[in-house]
Amino acid sequence: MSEAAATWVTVGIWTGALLLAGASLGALGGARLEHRRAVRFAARCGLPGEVDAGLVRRVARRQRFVLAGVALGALASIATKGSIALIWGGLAVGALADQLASPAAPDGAPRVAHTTGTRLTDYVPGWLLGAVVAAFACSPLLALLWVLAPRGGVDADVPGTPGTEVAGLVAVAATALAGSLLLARFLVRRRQRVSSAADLATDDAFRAQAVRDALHLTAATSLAVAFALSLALHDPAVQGVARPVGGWAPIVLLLAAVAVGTVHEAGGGPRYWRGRLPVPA
Amino acid sequence: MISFDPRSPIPPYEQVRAQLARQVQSGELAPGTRLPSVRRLAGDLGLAVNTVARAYRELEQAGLVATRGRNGTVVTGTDETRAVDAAAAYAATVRGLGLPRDRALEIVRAVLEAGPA
Repeated sequence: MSEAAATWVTVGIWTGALLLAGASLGALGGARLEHRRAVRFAARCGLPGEVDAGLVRRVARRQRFVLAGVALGALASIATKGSIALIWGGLAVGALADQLASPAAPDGAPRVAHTTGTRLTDYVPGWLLGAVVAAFACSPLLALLWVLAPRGGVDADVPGTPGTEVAGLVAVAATALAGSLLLARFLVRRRQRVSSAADLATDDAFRAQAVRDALHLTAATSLAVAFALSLALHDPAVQGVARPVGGWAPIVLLLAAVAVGTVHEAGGGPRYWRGRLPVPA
Repeated sequence: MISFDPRSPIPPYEQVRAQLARQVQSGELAPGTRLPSVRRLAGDLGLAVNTVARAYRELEQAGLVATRGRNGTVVTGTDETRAVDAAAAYAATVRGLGLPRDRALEIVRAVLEAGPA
């Protein structure tokens, strides 16, 4: 199969997958699906009260923005032959676009606001932020291991991964972390132009979801960088403990990411903000 | 939560001040709680920065909040909560000194009956 044909097959697979995901997420229309999705979102995020038409519209719009962002990320990944971490970049961009386009209370309407200064840890648990930073920290640690690893053996003269490439990978992971945290900070600090307690709670729920989407970018990029660094640690000349560590590190990181996500969901992470930002029901 | 009704005859700064004062006095906003920055609250409620700044200033003059540089504006509590804090500090001191409970209470009573220093 030619390279062009392979690219078209990839685009086709992604299009099919996104259409399927969009249909199941209620992003492609269908009143029943949209309502069901809104009910699930409200239950998952601990939103008080009944699911009304406004919430259904808002959830459907978020799904469309996120789906469009993921599609853009997938396209960018295919076009640049880049990492699939770009898909999570697209997810973060979609979540940001949804937040920027979120409806504001009209001028002259009553307004409500929180009486406490909100911060990032009001929307996501501190341990989750710690886990994200720890995921990033794996990249410089693996790079350091690559620098310190003894070289030798029969392949000692075989050229390995260039140092600039390893440094570039760490820079990519650091950029993703900085981007995630800056985006999350921006989302948390945005004005909340809402006119009722219910709208304030809804806005908090969407904000918390957008912050989690932003943090996914670091997790995905750190994983992709760890995979690339594990290949560098398998350079022919690399000897000693660095080789098995390089082989296992991305697998351990992937399992840790799955464990963190599972614990966060099972422990009511999406409802965490309710305990930090109480709003009368 | 705080609300602002632009159709209310009550001036905007007074709406903000009164609600925050009520929440501090009822204990809903505990001492040490950090209030939103003036700019943030003004943006959220659609008010001018000066309006919220005036409400905060009046709360500060009433001793309900304090501005602490980079920490922003924090709730200091009512007179009663400050008295409770002082009593807790006194209790910790007398416990540390090993004074009997009755003697510690006698000292407080004597000081209160002696009138203002």
